[in-house]
Amino acid sequence: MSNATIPMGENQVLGERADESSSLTFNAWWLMFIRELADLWIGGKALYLILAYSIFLGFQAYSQVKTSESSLIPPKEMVFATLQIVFYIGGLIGLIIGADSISGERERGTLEALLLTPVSRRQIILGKFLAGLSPWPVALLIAIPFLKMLSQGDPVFGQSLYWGGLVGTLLAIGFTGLGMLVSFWSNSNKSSFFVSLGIYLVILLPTTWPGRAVRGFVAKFFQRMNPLEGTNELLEKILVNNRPFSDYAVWLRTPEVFAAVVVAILLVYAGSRLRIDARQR
Amino acid sequence: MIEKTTYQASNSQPDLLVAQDLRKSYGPRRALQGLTFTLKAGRILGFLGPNGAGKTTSIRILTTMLEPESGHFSINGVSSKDPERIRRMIGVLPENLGFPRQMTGIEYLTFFGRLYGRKAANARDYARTLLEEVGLQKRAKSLIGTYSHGMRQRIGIARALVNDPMIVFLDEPTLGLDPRGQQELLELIQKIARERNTGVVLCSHLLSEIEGICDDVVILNEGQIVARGSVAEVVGRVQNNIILRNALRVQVSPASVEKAREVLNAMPLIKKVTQVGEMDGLLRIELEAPSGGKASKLEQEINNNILSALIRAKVSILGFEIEGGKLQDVFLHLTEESIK
Repeated sequence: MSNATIPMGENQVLGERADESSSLTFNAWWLMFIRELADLWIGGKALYLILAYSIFLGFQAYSQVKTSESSLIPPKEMVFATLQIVFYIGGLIGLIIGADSISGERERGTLEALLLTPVSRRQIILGKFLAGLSPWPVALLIAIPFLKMLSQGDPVFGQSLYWGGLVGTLLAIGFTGLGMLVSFWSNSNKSSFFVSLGIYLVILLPTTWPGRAVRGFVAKFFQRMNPLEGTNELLEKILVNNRPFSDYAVWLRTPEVFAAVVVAILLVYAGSRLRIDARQR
Repeated sequence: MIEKTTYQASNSQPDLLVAQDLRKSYGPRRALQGLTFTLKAGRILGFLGPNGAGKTTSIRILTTMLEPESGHFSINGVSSKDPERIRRMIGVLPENLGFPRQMTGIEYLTFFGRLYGRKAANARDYARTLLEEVGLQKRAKSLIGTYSHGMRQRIGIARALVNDPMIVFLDEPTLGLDPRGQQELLELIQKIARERNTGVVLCSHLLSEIEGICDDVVILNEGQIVARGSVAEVVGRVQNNIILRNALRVQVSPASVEKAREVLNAMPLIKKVTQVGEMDGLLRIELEAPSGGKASKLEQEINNNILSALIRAKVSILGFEIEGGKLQDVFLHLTEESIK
């Protein structure tokens, strides 16, 4: 043990220094963001997920090309199908990272130390949320060469980047926030992942049903509320069917509302109620 | 055993922490029923109690992690209604604190220093100072994931000091450490209190260590304070009650146990001789209750007679103590019912 001298009574001026430092904690969300970013990318979680995504995307693109050779699938459809995969997996990555963000800290015992600082809970959540979004631009960047190759010189490539970037960002925001909300209410990572994946499947599975399966007001309502369904509908019309955006703009509302509602609940509700124990009142 | 330093924190200083009638329930279970105590700067307060006595709930309330149902507390005059300001003035080492495995010691402390508003360079310099204080300067650039349990506890204490707090709360800091690690950590805690003039609230099950380094003690049982005051006061106050039960403990060599029993059972005023626990050779001698109540001259004579008789019988005496003279006895006496 060191014999270093501890500055005696330094804390007597703490009151003054604390007041001074209160103006400095405004950037706490940025510190949280940087720390989370390092944790995700150096620690490996985001890196492994992105690696798995890249491999899957590679196989998917390869099989698209092989299939198109025999059945002449137009480039537009191949781009659209690949973009769907990018959204589905990009959203899933955001969801997984979000689902670990709070319950994981609870489980590892690292949340308490953060909550004991004078930093507001909202700043902690904001920093974590922004870091949780970081895999999305990487996922989109990785998809660019595949989209370029599959478009085979068709102008759909540029459109796919624009619309993919816009709608994909909304989905990434929504799914990352959704995972964080589940994590906010969970004490263990296991339950957080389980519930998050359950919700994801509930959102994803209806997009695989044929159109004729969706009958009646309730089914149509849920289809309309489904952010993945809205995204598919919009992009199919714009990218594959060359329809003008103005005719189908209403489908963009679904991912927009999804992202806005999730972010509002996360920052307004959860942002002021973050606790060591999810069940704590 | 940690030696109590000759320097004692002044008792004339104003109260730094004032807790008044704090209460908390979890459903029908009352975890805390009116916690009231004070702590002065530079003093170490031992927070004791059996499992489920309300220690962790108390610490969580006092560190703003939990809201009390009623009652309030203040730190250096700042009310518990302003938790953000309270958090600026306290440092906490929670029980089972986790650490980011991918961060180095210096990165970890710098990060927390910045969360308390220190500028990057200042936070890094202060992190270096703290690492030196807790004896981790050589491991500053090692990943925390590679630290031993003792090293993690020390960096946890360093983290609790990044804001130069007025009060430090340490919840079971020596849990899971080897004897040397425990001793080093307790020395560090003592140093923090004395040299920084910081109030320390120390939760621990290691009663001998608490007795060795704490100035004051609060004993909780079933959410209520059953004893409060300086260690000497609490021990002294309760000791009289325990001594009424008139018991002694003698540690003899295992080979002499039978002979010792024989000698003791033949003596007048000895009610019962029993073996204590599994420990070979530790005997508890219960005496007939004296008529006068308090420990008297007669009792001292009895004690001398017991020792003389054992020595005459050539019984090897390894230890001899009056039951009730230690914090451990006080603790066991006061929490007896809940343990049963």
